[in-house]
Formats: sequence, C-alpha cells, structure tokens
Amino acid sequence: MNKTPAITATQMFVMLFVSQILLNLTYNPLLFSSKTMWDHIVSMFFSFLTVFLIFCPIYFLYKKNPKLNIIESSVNFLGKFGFIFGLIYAIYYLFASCYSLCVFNIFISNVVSPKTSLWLVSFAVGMTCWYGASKGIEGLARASWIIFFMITVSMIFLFCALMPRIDSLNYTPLLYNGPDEAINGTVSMVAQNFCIPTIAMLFPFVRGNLKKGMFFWNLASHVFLAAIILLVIGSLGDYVKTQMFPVYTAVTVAEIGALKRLDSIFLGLWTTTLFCKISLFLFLISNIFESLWGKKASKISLIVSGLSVSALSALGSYNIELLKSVYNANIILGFTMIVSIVLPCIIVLLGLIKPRSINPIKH
Amino acid sequence: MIEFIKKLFGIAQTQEKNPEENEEEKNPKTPISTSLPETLEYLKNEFNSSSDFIKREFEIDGTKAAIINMDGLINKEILATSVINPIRKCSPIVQNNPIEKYNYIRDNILSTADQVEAKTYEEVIKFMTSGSAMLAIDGCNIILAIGIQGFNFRGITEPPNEVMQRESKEGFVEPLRINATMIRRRIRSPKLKFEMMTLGSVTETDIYLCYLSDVSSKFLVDEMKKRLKKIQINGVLAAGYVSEFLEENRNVSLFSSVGVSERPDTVCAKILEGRVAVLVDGTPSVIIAPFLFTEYFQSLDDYTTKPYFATLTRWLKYFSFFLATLLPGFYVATGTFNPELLPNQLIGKISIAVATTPFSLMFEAFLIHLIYEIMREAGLRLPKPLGHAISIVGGLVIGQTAVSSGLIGGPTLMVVALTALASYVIPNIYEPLAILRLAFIFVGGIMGTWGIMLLFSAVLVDICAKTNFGVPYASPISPFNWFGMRDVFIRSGFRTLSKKVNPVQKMPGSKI
Repeated sequence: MNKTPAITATQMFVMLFVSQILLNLTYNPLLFSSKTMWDHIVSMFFSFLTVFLIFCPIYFLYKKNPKLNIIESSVNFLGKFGFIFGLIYAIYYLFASCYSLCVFNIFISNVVSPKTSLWLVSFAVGMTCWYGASKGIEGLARASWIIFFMITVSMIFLFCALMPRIDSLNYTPLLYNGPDEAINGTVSMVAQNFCIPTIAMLFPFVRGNLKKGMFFWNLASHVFLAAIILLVIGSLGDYVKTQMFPVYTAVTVAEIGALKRLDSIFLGLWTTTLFCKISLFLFLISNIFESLWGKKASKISLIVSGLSVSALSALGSYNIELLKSVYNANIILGFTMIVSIVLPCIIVLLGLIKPRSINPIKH
Repeated sequence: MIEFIKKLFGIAQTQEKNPEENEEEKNPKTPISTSLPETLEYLKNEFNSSSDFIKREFEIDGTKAAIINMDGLINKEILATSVINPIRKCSPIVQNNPIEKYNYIRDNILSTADQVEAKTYEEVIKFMTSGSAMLAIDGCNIILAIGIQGFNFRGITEPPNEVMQRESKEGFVEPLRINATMIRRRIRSPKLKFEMMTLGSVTETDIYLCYLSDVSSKFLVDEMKKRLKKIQINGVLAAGYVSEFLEENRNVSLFSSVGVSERPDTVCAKILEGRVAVLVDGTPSVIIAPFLFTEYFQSLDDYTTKPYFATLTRWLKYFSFFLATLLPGFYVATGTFNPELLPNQLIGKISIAVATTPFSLMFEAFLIHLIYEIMREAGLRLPKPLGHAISIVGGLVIGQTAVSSGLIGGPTLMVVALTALASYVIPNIYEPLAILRLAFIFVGGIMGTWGIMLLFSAVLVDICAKTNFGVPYASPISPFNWFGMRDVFIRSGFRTLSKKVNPVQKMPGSKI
C-alpha cells in the first residue's frame, strides 16, 4: 500500500486538538470518582509532561520509517501475526469512539431531551461519522480546520460571557486535601488522551514538522483545559461538585447583553467535535483493515465499525452498571498505555533485534 | 514460444496505436466518390430524403456540379451573390480536368472567406449540418464547404439570471462562434486558445475548450480534454449535459465543483485566473472548471464597488447562506425541543401559534416550504404576464388566508419568508440550499439542535473533502491560506489584488 502525504502536520494537530477539545468540554471529574476539580490544575502540568513521554516510542517509530504506520511496521516484523496488533488498535479506536458517544448519550438523555431515544442518537451519530470517515483523511482534516475556527470564536465568546461571573473566593488553596486529587486528575487526563495512539496510525499521511506540532498541540490542549477549569471553578464554585457536566452548567448561566443561555453554542461545539473524533477513529479502523487486508476489507470494516459504534454505545448507555465499570480511569489508562507505549516499544525493539528491509505491504 | 512472442508483439502494437487511430477504427470514414450522382444518392439516403435537404444541380462548362445544403441554415442571399452567380458567370473555364476546374473555382472565383475541403462523407454531413453550402463537382473526390451560415439567433442581451449593476450588459447567446468572439474581444492575447471538439454521437454538438495557454495548468487542460473525450452520450443539448461529466468520479455531493456562467466578462475573469471554460454550441451557459465553493459568494459587481462595500456584501452573502440553510431547521429544533433558548416574548408568540394550528412545527415548516417551492417553480415556468397572478395567489390567498384561518402559524410563515429572501442573495447556490433546508427541517424536528449540528458537520466534511482537477473545493479557507483571503472574506483593493496573480492551480492544497 503506497501512501502519499495528504495532510500537513498543522492540519493533523488541529484535527487532534479538535478531538481533544471534546474531552475538555465534557470534562467530568465525577465520572472518575474525583471530588475536587480545582486540584486538576496541578494535574495539568504532570499530564503535559507525561504525554510527551508517551509520545516518544511512537516518535521513534516515525523516525525509523515515516512511510509505514504502526500496523504495517508490525506486519513487517511479525509477518502474519502482525494482524494481532491491528486488532488491538482497532478495538482501542472502537472503544474510544463508544466511550465518547456514550458520554454524549448520557448528556442528551440527562440534560437536553430525556425523551429522545438513545438508539436514534447513537445511530444518527454513528452513521454520520461513518459518512465523514468515508470522505477520507483530507476531508476530515480540512473540516477540522473550519471547526477549529468555529470553536475558537465560540470559546472566546463563552469566556467573555463567563468572565464577569468569576469570583476569586471560589479559588481555594491548591492541594488543600493532599496530592490524591492531583494524581487522580493526572491519571484521568492521560487515560482519556486517545490522540497519541492516533498519531501512530496517521504519520504516513502527514508531511511537516511533527515535533513542533506535537509540542504546540500538547501545550494548547492543556492550556485550554486549564482555562476551562479556571473559568468553571471561578464562576460556579462548589456548585461544580454536584454537576455531571460542569462546563455545560457554566454555559447555561452565562449571558452577554440580550443573549442569555448559551446552551446551543455548547451543544453545537460538542456535536461537531464528537463528529470529528469518531469519524477520525472510524477512518483509522478502516485504515488498519486496509493495511492488513486491502481496500475491500477497509470498506466493509468502515460500515461494520460504524454500526458497531452505534449499537455498542446505545447498549452501553442503557446499561449504567456496564458504563460504571468501563469509566474506570485505571482500565482506560492501562489500555491507552498498551497502545501508546507497550506495542510501539515492542516494534521498536523488534526493529533493533532483527532489522529488515522495509517493504510496503502489497495487496 | 513464437506464438507467445507474436501475441506479445500484437499487444504491443495495439498499445502503440494512438487514440485518433482508435477513433477511426470505431467510426470508419467513407471517402467521397468521384461520381457526382453517386455522391448525391449517398447523401440523399443518409438524410433519408429529409425535406430540408436541398441540392441544386447545374453545369460548369459541361461538367456536372451541385450545391448541397440544409434549408434554413445558410444565408441564401450570400449563396446567390457570392457562390452561384460568380460560378455561372465565370465561363468559359479553360481547364478541362474536373480537379483543375475545382481548384480554379476555389482559388479565383469564389469570394467567400470561409472555405474548407471535405474528403469524406462524414465531414460533408458535419459541415452541412453546421450551415455550410457544399460545392460538389463531378470527377472530384473533394467537396468544398463554403461557410455562409445564415440561421437566425437571439440577439445579445443581458442574461436575466446574472444581472449586474455596473458591468457589461452583454450575455452569451446560443451560437458557439459568437460566444467565442465575445471572449476573444475581451482577451486579445494570442495565448488565448480555443480548441474545438465534438460531443454527442447523434447531435454532434461542437464545443470549444477555452483557456490561456500561459496561465492554465497543462495538467488541467489535458485532464479536461481527457474527461471530455470520455463522454459517451447521444446528445448534448445544454451545458448541464456536459458539466456532470467534468465532476470527480462517483461524486454524490450536493454541491457542484463545476461553475456555469452566462456572462462573457465573468468567464473571462475566470480564464484569467487559470480556469478552463467549455463553450457548448446551442446554449448560452458556459462551463468553468475548476470551481471553488467560495466563488458562490463572489460576483463581478464586487470589483466595481469600493472594497469596504464589497466586503460588506460578501459578509451579507455568507450570512444569508447560513440563514437560508439553517434558520428553518433551528427554528423547528428550538421550538420543538429547546424553547427555553428563545426570548420569553418569542416563545409566547410561537406557542400561541403552535397551539392554534393543527400541525406540528416541523410539518408546518415542511408544508410552507413545499408550497413556496411549488410557487417558485410555477413562477419560473409561467408566461411573464401571469406572474402577478402567482404573487396574488401565493402572497394573499395562500399566505394571508392560511394564517388567518389558523392552518399555519404566523411565525413559521415569517421564518420561511426570511429564508426565501436570504436564498435570493446567492441565487447560484439555490439548488443545494433548497435540499439542505428541507433536510435541516427534518433533522431539527426529529433530533433537535444536536441533529442540526451533526448534519452541518456532515455537510462541512462533504464540502471539504471535495476536490476537482486536484484543487480542493474549500480552498483557500481550508486548506487555509492568508494570501487567498484577500478575495474571500474581504475584497481587497486592486492595489493589493494586482500585486500577484493567484491562478487556481496555486490554491493551497492543490495537486496540480
């Protein structure tokens, strides 16, 4: 399979930033049994550094051969058994998609319109994302750029709306109850960072400076989250502790002049970023199948993964017990570490032990 | 082994054949017979003794000759004064050989400028149907096509679909050559090329490929030719027959990446930017490719007004686009699912309207849009004097009566009217807008605001993923380029615009 660089590093990191913003908008400490959101400001710094460390094996792999994605590299070294890597990554992307869609389902059913069928929500999102993924990486990257612009404008608007509501008394001393919350926050932030394994699949499509892009992307997404925490805590105070979706709650109390209740802006941002994220993951799943079994398998996998994301998310959203067990930061962190560090490290080591002439897979 | 080599050689030979040879194999040409009666019989049979097939036989110093033409396509006065009379008066001709006679008449007798020789019957038919008179002399296997076209055509007027304020009032007409002249008059560069092609196996419609050879990308021109040559169609009766073939393969997008214009000045402006124009005989619409999404919001009028006003107009157009696409959908979504997002007074009005009408907000919006589309369609097809009837029936009878009788709500009618008004600001994009509007109403009514944003994202990806001839459709917005922005969200002054020409192939993300 011969890939030609189709997008620039800036486009890729903007796309990842848009995907990452979804995490920021839906940032929910309650989901990970965390009590104080304020201490997560400290977690931000550790998360920022950890993400760089996690990125190292993938970057090393990229430096070794920028033309092969991680699945192609695994097939190169492991032969037929390389497909196991492919399956693990496909399951990870499927999990990440379902995870994001389930949070959205919870939001719709709890806040927006409780009567809406979650099957409808899941299938509408799943099928639209399938369509987005079928349009290819270039289409997604270009659309992300426009969405990024929309997000920037909307967030400036929301920040301006919330600024007057900030009360400095809401900011309590950091780490007042010990470092546990900060550690908890770091774990949940790193665990939910689904973008690092994404880079492992994307780099053959990318041209440009990956290192610089990585730095700015990591910095921007953490600064953005820090700004959101500052804003939400400042405007809501202790009220945050009882809120399932703190950013949404902050937005509902915001107003600028005659414009009251900016819910629709928040909902719009969430939906578009969710679309970008799931479409990207579905594209990556199809890309894995293309790397392993060719174009036909890729097309079939795209439809199957789209349907699977819809069905699994709907089932998961109706089963709260299952959701609770899935939304365990340690489990997610474990999975993220496997695909971000363990598997890339194995390939890097294999490359060092038995260097092979690297040939692209032919179908 | 030898067989294998022969086979291999055979394959190699077929591969070496150029496309013109293949074309000849597909459509074999019949050489013209030296016998005039045979030629006349052949042509008569080809035209199935059609009543517009006209032949006038006469003798030139003992040699049989004939003028053959199609009725109504030639100028009879020119035929008489510049062709038949000079031939009849030129006797005696000293040359006895028919070919020498033919050469003598062609070079010394005929006073018409446009003369082409036809060597096959297929060429003869093509010239005849294009409005040439054919001079055939017994004993010659060549027939002279004399260009004395004289059919009637519509005069040059301002195109009603592209009215401009301060621009030229000329619009394209149906004859191909007149359209080509209008472009040539505006671009006097020798680099302006017109390449002729024929499309349609039955209609044999002439088309011109028009571009500036030093500005347009060679890839673009070659690709355009390749796509045009691939077209397999019986007839080409309008530009729309061709434009679909010029889109990317398996394109299911709502938006078109091929533009159409009826204005020579607009087409010239596009050609100057490196685009290729396709002129189709018999239609006043000229195809322009590649076409970018941002071009929907540009008009030639922008360049005749002050930059600040042109920029305001641009923003109005972008705003109208979003209004025309999303307003009815958002209205239905917020009215149905999130009325708390609207100001209290407005909620009151809407809820009263909804409570007193029999239909849901979604169905109501659908219904009014459908009625509006019916009225628009009727207004388009109806003779002009009856246009007022549409306004009366639509505005007064349907609008006022439906609201006062409580069939539809006033706010919904207002939203639809505003949407319709906004869509007139960008008439070129009306077709996709009409479809999208209905889709957004449906999604808004079923899913609410998040559904609208989901559909919006899908439309966004659809626009962004589109490319034509290697140029991204959403360029220069995405892929983004600061330099390109000088004529997208703002219209810079000509001092800035003229600093550097930005041909279409230099757009960000272009693969040409």
